[in-house]
Amino acid sequence: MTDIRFTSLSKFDCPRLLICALGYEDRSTFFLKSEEREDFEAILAFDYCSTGLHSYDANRDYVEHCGARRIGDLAELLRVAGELFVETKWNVSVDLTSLDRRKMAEVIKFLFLNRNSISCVDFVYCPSEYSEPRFKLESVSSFGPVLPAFAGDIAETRRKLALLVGVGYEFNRIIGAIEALEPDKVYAFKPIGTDRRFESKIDENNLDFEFLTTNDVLREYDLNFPKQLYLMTRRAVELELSKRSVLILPLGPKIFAGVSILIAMLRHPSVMVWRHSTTSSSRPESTRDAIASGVVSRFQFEFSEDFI
Amino acid sequence: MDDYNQVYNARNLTPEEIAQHIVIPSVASDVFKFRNTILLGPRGVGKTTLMKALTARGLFALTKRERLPRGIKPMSIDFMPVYIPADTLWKGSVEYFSEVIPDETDRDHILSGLFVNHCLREIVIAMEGACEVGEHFRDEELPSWALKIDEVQEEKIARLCSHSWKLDRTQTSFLGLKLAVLDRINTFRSAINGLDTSNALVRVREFEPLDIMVLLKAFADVMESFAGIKKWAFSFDEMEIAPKRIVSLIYENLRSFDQRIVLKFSLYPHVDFYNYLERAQTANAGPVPDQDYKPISLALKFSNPDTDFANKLIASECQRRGVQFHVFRNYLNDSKAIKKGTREFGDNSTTRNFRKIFKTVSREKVDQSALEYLKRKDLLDSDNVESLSENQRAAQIRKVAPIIEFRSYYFAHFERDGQSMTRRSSVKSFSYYHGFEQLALITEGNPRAIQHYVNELIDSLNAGVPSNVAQNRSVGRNLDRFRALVATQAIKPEPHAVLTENALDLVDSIGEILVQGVLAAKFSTQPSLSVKFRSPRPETKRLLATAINAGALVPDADDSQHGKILFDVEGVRLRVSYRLVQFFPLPTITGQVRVLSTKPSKVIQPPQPDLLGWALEND
Repeated sequence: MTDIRFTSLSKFDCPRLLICALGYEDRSTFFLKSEEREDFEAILAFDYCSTGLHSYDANRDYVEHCGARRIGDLAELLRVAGELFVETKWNVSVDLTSLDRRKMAEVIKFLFLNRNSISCVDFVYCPSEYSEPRFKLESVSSFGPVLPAFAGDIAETRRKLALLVGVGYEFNRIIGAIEALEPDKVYAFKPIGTDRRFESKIDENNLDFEFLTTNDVLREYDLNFPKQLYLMTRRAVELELSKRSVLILPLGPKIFAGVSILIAMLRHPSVMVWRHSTTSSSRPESTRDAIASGVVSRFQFEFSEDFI
Repeated sequence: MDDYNQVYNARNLTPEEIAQHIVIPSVASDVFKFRNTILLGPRGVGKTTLMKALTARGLFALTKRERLPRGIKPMSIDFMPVYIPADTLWKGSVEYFSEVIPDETDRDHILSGLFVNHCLREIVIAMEGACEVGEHFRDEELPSWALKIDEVQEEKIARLCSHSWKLDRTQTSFLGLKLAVLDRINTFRSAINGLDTSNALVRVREFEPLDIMVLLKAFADVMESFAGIKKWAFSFDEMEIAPKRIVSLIYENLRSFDQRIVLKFSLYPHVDFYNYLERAQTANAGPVPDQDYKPISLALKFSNPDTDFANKLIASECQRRGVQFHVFRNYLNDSKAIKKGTREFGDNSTTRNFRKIFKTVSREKVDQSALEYLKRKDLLDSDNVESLSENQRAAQIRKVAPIIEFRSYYFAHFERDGQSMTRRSSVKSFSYYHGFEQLALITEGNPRAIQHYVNELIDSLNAGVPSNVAQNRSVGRNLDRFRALVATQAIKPEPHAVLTENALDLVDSIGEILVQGVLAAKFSTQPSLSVKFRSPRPETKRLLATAINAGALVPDADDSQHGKILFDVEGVRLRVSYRLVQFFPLPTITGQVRVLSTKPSKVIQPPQPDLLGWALEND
């Protein structure tokens, strides 16, 4: 069974690949700017092609300046990445900051399938500066698995559902999910560790979590310590899988999504990962820029063929 | 935080737990009959609860209850029930199937294979349950829904099922059957969720197609031969999330299937498994309500709702929390926000005192337009009111008094240039909705909503929170919660269209239009309080259907030509759910219908209650 071991990039003397997103948020190039260009053998940027929207043009200029390859088709990007994986093992940094959850899942699935060619994976996330949330109920066009691969399995012993949900600004989305999925138990993971104003607004946007019952669990995780988030989430998943089906809904910071999808990949096909699909990204007026707070949250691991 | 969700979330309860706690609605006797049935209602209304109660384990638990409502006699049920819950794969969108299985033939094969095998597995689980229950009875007492078979019989059944279900290996027990089917389900699923779906696809193509209807008959044959079971009820739950082709299949078989078998399934009120063309084609051949099946709506009626069941649910919840029912009822009725003397609270009902309502309007002199009406009709004079005939009372008092009462809560005085004027007041206070009678209405009789409200209010009662404050908080919280549910319902946009609105936006637009009539400065005796859509655009139809199925809009089931099933929302009378009316606000009564030819555009209104603002007023 494939699992992971915590490690650090410096342990491996391998060429390094960066997979990132070229988006309209200012912070989508923050990590790239904070690293030495020479550190990367190759940079592949998924291009959201958002010309004229917020910081996209400036980001595009910077990405080009760094010699990154911009690719607007994720399958093509992953094919190009796969072609790199010959002869030698690679260290792969994935900047999750501006990748949407679906593409993130595709990338993590790709890494998992190519794990024999990878020395170390480096998840990177750059939280944004504080900005006022919207008390707006966004339109949802679909609610289902982030990818078919995360649709879950059927087990004889599991009839009830545990919902592990990442908490974020998404106004009241969790309540809708709980009503729709009717879980037997809810674990809500609330991010802390950056601007404290986020925390009170998150509470406010989630009705102070009054919808949780005594059977449910509200846990805080520190965005500065993603390893702890991984361990906390993994423990909950392993505990719940013994008695319930597990569905993760990674709202909130993308690092939670990255960690969740990784865990679901390791326990494939048992763990479901779902997402709400909204159309806000296709409506420029509903988007807004996000400036990096200056923190870079990182989580480095290597794949192993045994348990931790 | 309290453990509110644990009782009425039927999905997570065993049939025994449900049967122990269920407040049995009057329609249960129809559901428990040997006849085809379609249970209709929005989410949380109790469809799963009833279906799970109608299982061997549920029925056995019901026999242990001391008192059951008239017409509910578990031991008299003369058929074997099989409960088939929704496949978890159907939850969420099944549309992603097409991404991973582009070929339509493959897709149909996999969807059908998953459904059939899911049903087979649930059939075996039902048989195991019937065997467990059978152990509690002597042979001569064995009801039709319990099973006593020995190992030899079980082996014969398993062998024959293995053959007819086309299993790779012959099984000799129910357990073996169940695991073999589970294995096949996961093989089918691996064609969707696998990391290498192409290999899985090759494997599932080797499975022969199975027809669930044929298999149900074959299973009935086997069980009749080896276990003596003669009659069956297969209950398919949550069919609203099943692939359309599967729902159509079961629906069409309601017309004529097998004399030994009845089909029961649950649906949301609005269905889309038939498009217009298919409906036209099957208009003459399709099943006929009340003839081929009994449609049963679990939702509160469109108008003049019977709140008896809701009251029983409230009483049950009070009992569970150890609070005397009359104490709870009095707590709600004691709200000082209810205008004094306007409601008379009896043990079983609340009566509006129209004279007091009229006098209050006269004394307050805020709603000048209504006051002029009362003066013009001479309704402020008690003697005159007494002298009215019954018909005159109905026309002049019973219809208008509820409107006048409602308006009296939402108009306020203000001064401009030294002149006294009237305008709509803030709607952050929910005083009109206070009181026990209103609680049954503003929950729409929805068990889950009742549970939330009652538990929150009992907490407040126990904590000594004044009734008016507690009710304002509770209304606000539940309003927020329900609005969040409605807003997050997924709506697939029309092809090439961008989704810009959710179902809640549409409901808000309707609510805003209606409130302009009922709270207009000029008093209207018959304001519009419901709508009908004429030739709505496709995207509006989608929003309407979603709002109806979420319970945000309540259809007048009598408008449906299909026995309460709505195939089309066009021309159907709709009212805003009483779970949402506080937001606009609208009264908990029905009124005239307003016909809309297009989706109403959003109207900017004076200050509305911001979501999250509920805790501020009167706290």
